[in-house]
Amino acid sequence: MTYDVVVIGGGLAGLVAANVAARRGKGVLLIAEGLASLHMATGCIDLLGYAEPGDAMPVIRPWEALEELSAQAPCHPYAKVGRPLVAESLEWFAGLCREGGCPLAGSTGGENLLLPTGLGTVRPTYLAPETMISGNLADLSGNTGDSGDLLIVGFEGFRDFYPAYVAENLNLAGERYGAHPGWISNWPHAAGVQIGVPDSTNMRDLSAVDLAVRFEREEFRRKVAEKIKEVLARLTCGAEVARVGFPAVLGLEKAVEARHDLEEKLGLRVFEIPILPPSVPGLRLAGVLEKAARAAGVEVLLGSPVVGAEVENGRCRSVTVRTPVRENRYQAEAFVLATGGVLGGGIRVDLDGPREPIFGLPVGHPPAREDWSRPQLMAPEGHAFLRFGVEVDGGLRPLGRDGAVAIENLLAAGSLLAGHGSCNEQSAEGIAIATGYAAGRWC
Amino acid sequence: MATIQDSETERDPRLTSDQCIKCQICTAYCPVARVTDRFPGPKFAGPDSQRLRFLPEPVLDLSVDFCINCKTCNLVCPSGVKPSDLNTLARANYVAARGQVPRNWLLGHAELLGRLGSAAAPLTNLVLRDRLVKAIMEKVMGISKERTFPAYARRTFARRFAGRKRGRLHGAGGDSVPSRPRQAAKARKVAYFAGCFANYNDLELGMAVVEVLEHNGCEVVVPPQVCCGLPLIANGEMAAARKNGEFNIKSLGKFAAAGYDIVFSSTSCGLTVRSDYQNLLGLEGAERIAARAYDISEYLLLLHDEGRLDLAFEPGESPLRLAYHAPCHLKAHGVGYPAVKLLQLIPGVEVTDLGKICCGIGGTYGFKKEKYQISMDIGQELFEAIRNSGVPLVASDCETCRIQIEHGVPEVHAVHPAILLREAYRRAEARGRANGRSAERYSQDKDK
Repeated sequence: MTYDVVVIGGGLAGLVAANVAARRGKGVLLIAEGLASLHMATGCIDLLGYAEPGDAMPVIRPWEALEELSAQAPCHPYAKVGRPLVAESLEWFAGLCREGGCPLAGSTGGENLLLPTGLGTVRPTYLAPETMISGNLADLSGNTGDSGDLLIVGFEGFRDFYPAYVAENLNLAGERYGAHPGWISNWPHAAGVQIGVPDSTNMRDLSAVDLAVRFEREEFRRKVAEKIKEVLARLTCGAEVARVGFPAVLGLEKAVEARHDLEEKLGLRVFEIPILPPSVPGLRLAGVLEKAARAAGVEVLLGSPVVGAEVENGRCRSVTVRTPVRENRYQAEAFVLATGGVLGGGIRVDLDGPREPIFGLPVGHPPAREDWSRPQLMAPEGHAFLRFGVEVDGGLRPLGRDGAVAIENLLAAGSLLAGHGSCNEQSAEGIAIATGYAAGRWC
Repeated sequence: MATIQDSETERDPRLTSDQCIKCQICTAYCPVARVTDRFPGPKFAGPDSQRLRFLPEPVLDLSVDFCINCKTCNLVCPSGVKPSDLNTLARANYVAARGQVPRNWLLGHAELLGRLGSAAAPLTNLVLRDRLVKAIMEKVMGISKERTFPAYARRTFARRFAGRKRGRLHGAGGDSVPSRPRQAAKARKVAYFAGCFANYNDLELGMAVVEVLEHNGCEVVVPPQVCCGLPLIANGEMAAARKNGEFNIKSLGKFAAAGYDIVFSSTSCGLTVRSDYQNLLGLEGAERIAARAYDISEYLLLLHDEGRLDLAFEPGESPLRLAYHAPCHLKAHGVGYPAVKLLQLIPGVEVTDLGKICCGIGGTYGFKKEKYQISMDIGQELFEAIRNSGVPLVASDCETCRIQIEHGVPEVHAVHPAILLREAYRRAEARGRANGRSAERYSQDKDK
């Protein structure tokens, strides 16, 4: 089988690259081993959350921080792509999500939003699904702002979200933010409550998807709203509840409508909080991107890892896919490698060190193994292994050991790239979209 | 996610349970878990419960019985776990330890039903359509009275095919199938595995596959074959499935060794022989067959890639609008949707892709009384998509998907893509003959 472009990897970067290339009129095949990154992510688009690893306070204006970062670190993917294309890619992406019925929103002045996490910590992000936006804890630009106290609602028998824990942590975060000069003074107060799941069968634990399916039904929402109204009538902790936060399960595809409906029923603003995988907002986003890709003519091959590549005279001719029934070869003019970093399986680490398994591209790493990680799992400076990646030139073409372009018709995108610390920078989606977009344009 | 794939996990799918990172992506995409709480989902039924099945006294849990065997979980898992395979093996262990229920034994032995049904047709069809009989079958056997068994043909495909060959050797005419491969010199040799459905129920499908292959210069044989064993596997009858597998491997193996490609027109038979024989049954020699085996649409597309597919399709009178439904077991092949590409080669055909929705039948699953409603609830999304598309015709590669589609949306007709290809070739031939005749007439007129 012959294509113009073969994209390897079904995460955010791969889906974006496939969509962009197909819209340029290319015949595209997307090969994915499984469904991954989006289903474990929040559904928000982080651009740049922290300027330096270990910073106590987040970035307010991400575009300024991005310019500074690009100047200091020319190897960073943002520096390779350049601010104008990063901005263009995000605008394009937001448009695609709007068309797909999964609209994203950001702050009015291009500042980061501060949204609550499923642990009650505070996360800076640039764009969020419209269904999450009312959870913004502080309008950093101070112009409009979502204010008002929060009621965090969880469900009995749903083990992935503990509302009291979330509320208590948010109140603690308020103390921390309030103590920093120049930061927010009108931090909202949060209270948590757990309600029973209407019409529960009690046959098994409920997953996020189970709840999302139920939230698509008007009758279920009505019963939930009634329960919450009962809670609000009893609530005596002094909070002036203006907003109700749910775990991010308000519908699989019709979350926008479900949220509007709940707001009407409650007479309060409603928002979703991203939780543990499987991420329902991630499922929605993956659905939008895959549907758009198919509509643009992309063929999707799921469940089959790429196990090898045929490279001749510095050009890749084909890749080999291991399907459940046999190995198949797919030829193309250009290839985009978007298989993820160490966490995504795009970089394997064994006793000999880290390696990129499909093309055997070199992966830079500290020589001494004890320098790869720090003793604490949540070390604020981050781990070196999370920065393992493939070096590329200005056109996102991977470099060989000699520093020259290794394979001329191969481009790399997403977390696989070297030069960033997205885990600690909070920049994973921004990098995936910007480099995926650029790879889709340049392949 | 990074997977630890060593030779051991490739040999035994049960060992993939240790690779599970509990992300629940499988449960998020499981069609059964989405509509009922009676199935705990692939993660819980599969890798979570597997550790209890490794105990010296394995825990037997019948919740795996609600797994529909669509294999979606195997595909979406980012860590290389095969929950569907774990469930299937666990179900087999349950049946081995606790014994089989008669209903599942019978559904598992679908081929026996085919043989008996065929022998007594058309009486069988009358009986099986009778309301009273259906009510009794539901009460006594637990087979849903909402379902109708597909009609059985009086003669099997194998006999009809054999008869056709004999007829031609003796010069007897009257066969509508084109008689001679066109590129005899470079003929590809195909051993066709028809499967029970084409053999006992839908003979026209079998004949269409042969006709399309021969039209494209392939030499076609139908080797001795028995049921692939999928209904047996799905109902926990592993020993019987293994027996069938051994027979088929021996029979097909001879043709594979002689340079024949093995072609399937049922995606599920194909997947069983190509994948399950190795991965679930551990049958020796299965890999030699898998290496030469293809789904019919995949095979024709391969011919197209080599420039050997006859593209002289004749469109129908009016443009043909149809929808395509991709069976879950086709997705499990990992070869994309070759039928869509083929159908798009026919001028005037407009194909709507219905997306990646499961139809809900799951082979014999949807015939079971306690699972009928689950099966229909899963199918709802597909039924709606078909109704919304407003097409009169749905193409799908799997026989039970087609049964479910016609059951859920009675106003549409569901066909195998090979049938549509044959029609387009036949129209082309008819036109060729008509042109030939008019040319003849023209020259006669001139002579006058």
